[in-house]
Amino acid sequence: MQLGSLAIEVSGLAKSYGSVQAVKDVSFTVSAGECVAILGPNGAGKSTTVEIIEGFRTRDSGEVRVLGQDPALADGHWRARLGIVLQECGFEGFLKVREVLQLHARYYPAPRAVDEVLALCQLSEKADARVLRLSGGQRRKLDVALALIGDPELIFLDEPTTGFDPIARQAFWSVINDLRALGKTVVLTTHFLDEAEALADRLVLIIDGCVAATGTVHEIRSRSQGATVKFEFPRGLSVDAHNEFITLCTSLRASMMNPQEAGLRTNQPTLALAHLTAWAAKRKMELSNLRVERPTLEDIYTAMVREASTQGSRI
Amino acid sequence: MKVTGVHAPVMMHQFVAEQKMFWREPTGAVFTFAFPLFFLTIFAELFNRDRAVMQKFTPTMIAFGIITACFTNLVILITIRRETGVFKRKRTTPLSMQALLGGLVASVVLVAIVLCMVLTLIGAVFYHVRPTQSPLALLMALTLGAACFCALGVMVANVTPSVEAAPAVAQGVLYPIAFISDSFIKTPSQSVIRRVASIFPVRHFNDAVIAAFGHGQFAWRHYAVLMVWTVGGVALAARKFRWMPRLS
Repeated sequence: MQLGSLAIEVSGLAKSYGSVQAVKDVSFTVSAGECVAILGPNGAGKSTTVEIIEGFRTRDSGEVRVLGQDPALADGHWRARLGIVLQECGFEGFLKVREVLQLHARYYPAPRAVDEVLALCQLSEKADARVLRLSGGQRRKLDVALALIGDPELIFLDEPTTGFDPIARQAFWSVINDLRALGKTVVLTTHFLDEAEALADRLVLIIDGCVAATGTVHEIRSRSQGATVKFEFPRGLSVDAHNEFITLCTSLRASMMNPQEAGLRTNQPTLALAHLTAWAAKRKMELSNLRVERPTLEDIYTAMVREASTQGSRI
Repeated sequence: MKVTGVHAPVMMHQFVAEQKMFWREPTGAVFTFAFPLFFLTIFAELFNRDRAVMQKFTPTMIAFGIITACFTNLVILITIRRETGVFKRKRTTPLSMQALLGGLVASVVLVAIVLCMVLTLIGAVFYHVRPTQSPLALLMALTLGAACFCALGVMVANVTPSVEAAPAVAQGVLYPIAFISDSFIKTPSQSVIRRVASIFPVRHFNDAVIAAFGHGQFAWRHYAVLMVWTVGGVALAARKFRWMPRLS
């Protein structure tokens, strides 16, 4: 696949289950070699969207092209180019780990070596164990190994690190980054925003069946100008000093968070900091633990989901 | 680069994997063999090992063994594989439905062949039953029966809702029909039960194997009924096949 071409194109996608409109209007693209994370609360239409792209579900309307093909009409040749890690999927439990991988390798025209994939997914030690005997985390690794055995160009990961301990997550992230280095395209759905931030070039946020935002992590974070100036509120402040501080807050249009720890929410953190430090210097006060906090991706995500749900309930 | 065109080699690998799983999974293997062997030996004692009776009852149990090995196993195995998401995972790969089901069917047929040989051997050694004068007639009856009950097994599995329901559905369909089809006890001739049973394939299969045993007669009318059920079963099995579990 040539660089810069589109691996996935979705436009105007819609899907209903009976009277429930799971996906209303979803459009986005994924370029070849890119890693895109699809985020959204439970029931937002994220899974339905991904399952339509993977060719598991039919759509009501809209256009979908994955590796140049309509997934609804896809065949074995197309499937051979995809690697899919599904949520909760059964195994042939009485086979050994190596046997399952060998069996799946036979399905593909140009599979990767079984031992190589075992090592990549840290399953070499468990190669001769029956799948039944694996722990939850080990089964998840086998899910990933089975998705990689066919040496796919495009990899779908549906909540891949659920049930992983922190060490296993880090290891998994490095596996994904290795795949990226090989030029593979990765589509990730996750509830962990740090995971999206660590792996994805771009985010697609789906809320209530529609794309609420797309962009790089940096672009989405800079949508919010807001920041919070925080410090520990000084004890034994005179009434005079206290009133002065309140006036200062009002003039900065900043709101206070709680009485122990002062936090000024503001869209102009530089200005707020200048006035605050000037006031403290005049009073000869040391503001302990003074810092400026930018909202995390999680804060922005939570705010957007909340905003969308209050708008939804108003209708 | 050929992917879907090549069913045969992939089917072979599916078959080998299915065989491993079958013999490693104790309950399925034990029950497949236990029921026909149990019925054969118990009834033999009830009939005082009468040679004339056993000459007919042994082939009946061979037919019954093929039905449990093919039909019951396929209903249960396909339902488990589908409802636990094994088929869903296969759907993410280029594996075709033909190769998937072909491997599974070949595996239960091999189990049926082994079971057949064990039952024939027990009949010959302990009850002095004459296997057949025409291996061709026997082979034909067994092949048509196995094909028919494999097709029906896949068909019934397609409409079985859950793993929990699978054994009940398989036995619930099989045993009433087996009882009215003279698999265990002889129904009176000219009775309504007999006429009802003649609609279903079980009695025709029993009679075809009984005819092929001993004198080695071909039973064309029974073959024809088995073939009609096979064609119907295959048509429905292919059309109604599902990769996805019910709740997804």
